[in-house]
Amino acid sequence: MAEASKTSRELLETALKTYRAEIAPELSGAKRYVGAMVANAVEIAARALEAGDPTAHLADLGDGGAPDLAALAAAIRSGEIGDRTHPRLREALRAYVRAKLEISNPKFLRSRES
Amino acid sequence: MGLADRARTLDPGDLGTLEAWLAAELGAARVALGPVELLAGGAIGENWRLGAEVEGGPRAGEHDWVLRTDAPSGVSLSHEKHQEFACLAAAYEAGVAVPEPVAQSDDHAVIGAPFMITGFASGIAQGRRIVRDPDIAAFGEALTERLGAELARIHSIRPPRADLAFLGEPPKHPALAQIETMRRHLDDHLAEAHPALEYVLAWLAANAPASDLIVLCHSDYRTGNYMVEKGALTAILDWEFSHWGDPHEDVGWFCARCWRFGADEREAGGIGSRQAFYRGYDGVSDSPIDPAIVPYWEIMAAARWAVVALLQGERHSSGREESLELLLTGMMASEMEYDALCDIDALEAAKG
Repeated sequence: MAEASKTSRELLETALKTYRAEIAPELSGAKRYVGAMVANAVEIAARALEAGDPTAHLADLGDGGAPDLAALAAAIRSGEIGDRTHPRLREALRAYVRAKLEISNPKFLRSRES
Repeated sequence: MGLADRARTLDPGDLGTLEAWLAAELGAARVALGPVELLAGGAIGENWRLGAEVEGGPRAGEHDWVLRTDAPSGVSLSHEKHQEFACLAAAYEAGVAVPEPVAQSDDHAVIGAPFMITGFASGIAQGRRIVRDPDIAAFGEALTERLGAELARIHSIRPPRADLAFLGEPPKHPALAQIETMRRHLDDHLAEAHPALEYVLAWLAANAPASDLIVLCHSDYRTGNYMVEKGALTAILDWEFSHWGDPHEDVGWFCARCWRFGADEREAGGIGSRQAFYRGYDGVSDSPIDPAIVPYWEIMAAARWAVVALLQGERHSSGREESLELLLTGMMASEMEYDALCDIDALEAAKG
């Protein structure tokens, strides 16, 4: 990990800990809900720094270069790319979505995989 | 943004214009409003509880009403208030458990925004609270069966209907029409491409069932959009998305995993069994649910909720409306993509 993102990670994690210990307990009612969203957003950002690029799971579907999401989406809609042309298409898309969820909501993934 | 920060339409200190308008609308000699109270909730508009005393005319007497307004940044997918009111009125006539429609106006001169007034329904609507009620085991099955029966009553409303002409021509192929609408929303509003969602839509298009019956679909019939008091249904809410469609659309929406609020084992809305929901429906409807086709419509539900979530996220990302809640809602789309892909896996595996 680059030095800059290591610092970012440390900042986010410490900010979250401080928030949880010193601010969250003071909140009530609607502000508690807002506080939970803020903490959630910081957690997502911290996980995103750790995680690899979810689109890496789509690399095999294109010509090997960085996946072009817009081109892939259009090719799937037109039928140019489908289960027949790419038998592992659904598997790749699922791995891609799974990787996005490891960042945005790993709890959801665990609930689906239990 | 808290309730207190939001500009309010109704001024409780200045109800004269609304009172005069209501008196004329209801054929009454006089209408006196009060007390007036702003209710919590209402993600899209405001909800005001209104006490009312009507002198003369067919509605003479004391009433407990709710006035609902549109928010300034209304969701583009929803009906205007007068259309929602017409759907509500049709449901009320069909014997559906809905608040009584009282009056409606799109004229900004009355309170500064379009609004509608209905009877007040007591209870709670929050999905999370309902599915986590400690007594859910005692009342869940009966509530689920009742909600099945109510849905069948909604589906007894069928085209053509002069009072619902604004809904347009019934679609020849409701599933394909929905897919087309979703693709249009993706193209028109979203900057980023969503290949997993496109795959789900392509699968839905390739596997679309024909519909042999077109009915009025509520189109947001789910836990969170009905009110419950002491374990019993008091009212079905939120008619702003109603349209002509396949009856299984509402069944799939109600049963989809994304609307179980974490109570996954209770497959009908997180409150009860599928069997209870289907039993309630089939006991009232002349056209029973086809259980084999419901999984298809659950995948449709996941896709539709994913599109709606992305559109909400886009309201933030476009800079139109800075909101952490909208931004986080947009990120939820991956959850529906994941559920849909898993469901497709299961259906394809079953085909062999």
